Amino acid sequence: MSDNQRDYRKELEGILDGLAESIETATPEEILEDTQAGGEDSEAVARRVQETLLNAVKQFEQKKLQAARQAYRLHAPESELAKLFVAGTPHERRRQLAVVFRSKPRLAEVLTIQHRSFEDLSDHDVQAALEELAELGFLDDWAQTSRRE
Amino acid sequence: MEDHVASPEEVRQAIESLTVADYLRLNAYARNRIARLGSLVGSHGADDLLQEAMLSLLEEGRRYWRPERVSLTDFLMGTMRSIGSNWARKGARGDAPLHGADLMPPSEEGGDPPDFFDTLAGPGRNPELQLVDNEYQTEAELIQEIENLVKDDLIASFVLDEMKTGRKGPDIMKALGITEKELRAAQRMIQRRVRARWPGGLPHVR
Repeated sequence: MSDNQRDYRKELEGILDGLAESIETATPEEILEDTQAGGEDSEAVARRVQETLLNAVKQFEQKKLQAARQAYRLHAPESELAKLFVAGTPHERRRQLAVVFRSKPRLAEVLTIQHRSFEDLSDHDVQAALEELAELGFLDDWAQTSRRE
Repeated sequence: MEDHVASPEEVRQAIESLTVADYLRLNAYARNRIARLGSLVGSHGADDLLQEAMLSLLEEGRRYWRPERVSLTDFLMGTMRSIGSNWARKGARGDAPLHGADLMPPSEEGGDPPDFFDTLAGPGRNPELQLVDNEYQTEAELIQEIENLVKDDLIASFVLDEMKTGRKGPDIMKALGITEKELRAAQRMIQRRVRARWPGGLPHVR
């Protein structure tokens, strides 16, 4: 075939498909040898690939959780939202609010202006503050963490 | 009993159970597919393809991985092949940015003002773009260079010629009268030399 009749694109695709075939059929030892022969750090490459794959799973879960939350917020009454995100007992609620304040000090500053100091808050104040925070979406991370625990 | 579709937790566990060789195989395969797509994939890299394959496994209605039937590595390689074909179709329709277009200097009508140092360089190509251009090869040049890498080995050269025609393993063995062992040895030699020549993956072609 003369040079001007050759389809170089197709030829290159053929070469790469053949090489893909050899990647698929190579033994684990051959794969390791080939990577090292290419001068790459096998462990570092493996770690990077693992991280990429795990990040994709995390990204998917976050997207799904966010969609579920949005759907829930559209349909659930406020009291239901509070049940979902606010802890069950006065002791746990106080602990939950303390954790939120620790992680978001700016929020603590804003809320304690209204309530003077954290120690002065009654159980009712704590619950009301948490319900408000739940509505605003500040407890979403809490719900995610408690579910993992 | 009906096969079940893997949950995200099962997928996470399966990822963590892969061996170093599995990860390296996936990496090599992703790079291979990106090289095959060339400029059609725009700025997508091997990691983007891997991530997209994983997301398509997880997202409902796209693809279902049944761990009883196929390993995660094989499933992801098959998925990357299929996603690569979709990207190629989109790229051919102009839906994906082309590298060439990414490297175009700003137009007269808009875009960033010219760099001060470019204005001092006088007429002609921006030296930086000229340098990038030099790193790009034509398909013909790239094929020639791959051929040169294995010209000292007769079987590998013949196998490469067969690969260029698009023939697959069994047809190559039949055409050349070689065994599977000889074919695999030749393909590995090509693979290793290509890898040693371009450790970061094949260059995009013009």
